[in-house]
Amino acid sequence: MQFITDNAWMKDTLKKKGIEADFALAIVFPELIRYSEIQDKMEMSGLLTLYVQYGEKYANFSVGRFQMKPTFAEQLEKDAQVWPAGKRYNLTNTPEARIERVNRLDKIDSQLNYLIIFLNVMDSKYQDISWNNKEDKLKFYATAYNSGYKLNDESIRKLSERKMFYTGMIKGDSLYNYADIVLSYYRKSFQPKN
Amino acid sequence: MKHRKLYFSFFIITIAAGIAYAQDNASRKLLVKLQPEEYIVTNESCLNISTLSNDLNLVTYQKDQLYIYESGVRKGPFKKPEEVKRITCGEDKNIECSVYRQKDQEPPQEYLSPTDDGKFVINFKGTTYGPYFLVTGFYASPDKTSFTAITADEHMSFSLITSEGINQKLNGTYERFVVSPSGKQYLLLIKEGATMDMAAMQNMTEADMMKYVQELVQQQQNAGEPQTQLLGNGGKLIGKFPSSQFSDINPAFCQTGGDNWYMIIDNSLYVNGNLVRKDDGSLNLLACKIWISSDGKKYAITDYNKFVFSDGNSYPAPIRLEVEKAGTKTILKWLALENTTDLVCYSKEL
Repeated sequence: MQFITDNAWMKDTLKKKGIEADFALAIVFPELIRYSEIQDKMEMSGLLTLYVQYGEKYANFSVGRFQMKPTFAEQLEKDAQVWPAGKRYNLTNTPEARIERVNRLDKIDSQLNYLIIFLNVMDSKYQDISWNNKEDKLKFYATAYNSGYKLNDESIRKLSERKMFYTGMIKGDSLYNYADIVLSYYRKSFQPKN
Repeated sequence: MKHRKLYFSFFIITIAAGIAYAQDNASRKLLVKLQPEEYIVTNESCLNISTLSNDLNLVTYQKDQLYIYESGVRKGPFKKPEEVKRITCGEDKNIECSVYRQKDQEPPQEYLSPTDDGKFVINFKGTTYGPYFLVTGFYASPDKTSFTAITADEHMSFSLITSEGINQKLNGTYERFVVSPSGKQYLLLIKEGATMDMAAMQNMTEADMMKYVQELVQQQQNAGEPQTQLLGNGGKLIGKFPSSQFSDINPAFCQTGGDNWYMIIDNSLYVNGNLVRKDDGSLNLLACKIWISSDGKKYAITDYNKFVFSDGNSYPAPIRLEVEKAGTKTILKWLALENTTDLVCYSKEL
């Protein structure tokens, strides 16, 4: 939470993009907890090297404050191509393209940009769904963020009820429901004041 | 005639290879050859370089099946992760970042005392310095024979104070101290520009304070890109650089570089203020991935794709890296995966 308070520019950036900042930052809040737990133990360098050299077979790891996987970033880059105003990324299957991606994932402003693309993709993909309320939508988006937004609607709904999230380096006995943490945080801290 | 030409070509190639080999003092050892389409499960494997040569323990997967390499012998397949025996790894000496970070610094409280009027004095080896409104930075040498301090007065005007008698006004805001592993060399970063006059603000109304802050911000914006002064020992100005080029690890001292410092400006490498590698677009320089020799004459840079040494040789990028000291020599040892299948251990003097 301190990280969000210390980085007020993130809220400003989201607002400028027409995105409800509290909604967006709630989605990544569990990842901020996880990051603060494991940051001292992370040995990213080797993982990034293997990913840059050999691609997706070595892409099963998460990077940075928002704990984004390189494959997640790559998918968002592809999805952003369909928008006329969307940024054009190097999508070639080359070490150079992967170095550029890794360097982006290393920066918090680029991670925020990926989060913005994710929200735009989700808004576009699910524009015809009438959500019961804001929390219903948030729960769905949060699960899609954590489990994979390319999953179908039904799978995301099912996964939103399961406890699969853990805050340590490896999966232990304590598992949490990702969306529950998001909602709890949103209710406590981000709910718009009337 | 044809044969003579061939022999001559062979002779030339052999000599050329010999020269290249002579220049390249790296040793390369193949640890294991994976099978095609076989990948290392990195978070389940022991990739500690110190123990790898004798005790190679890896978990791999190939076509959705798991394998384990125990002391170099491949076992499996295993269908479920639970079937794979957990490996206990030895001591991990992998170095993620080459930047030297100051440790075990004495807390300044040992040298600072408050005065009755809320200021501070520095007590060092029986001499009292000050009083100062604030002591914002303090560094005592490891042998406790000297100190360097940054102080501020009521108007937030900063000064450099040393036990050698330097009392120098600084034109800007103190950012940070960077100290070499021996403690003998240091760098000071001072961000240029107007500082907030705390004393003057105390007597302002809320509206005046707002106006003052706005004017200060406007002043900073009009001044263009902020500059940071880089000062060396004794407060000597090394140069001024755009503040945006610096970070909390740039400039830095390296874990292997002794009293030699380095910085990255516009993706070019400077050692002790001298340009040693101009950006040619082939490497993205990161402070954590630069190694400097103890005499400051040689360097090695890694990105995520290659490992380039100042002698001109280039190698596959490390997935793990350890540093070994042998007298005055610094040996870099690293693990690389070549051609998707060859897990190799390299060793090279820096």
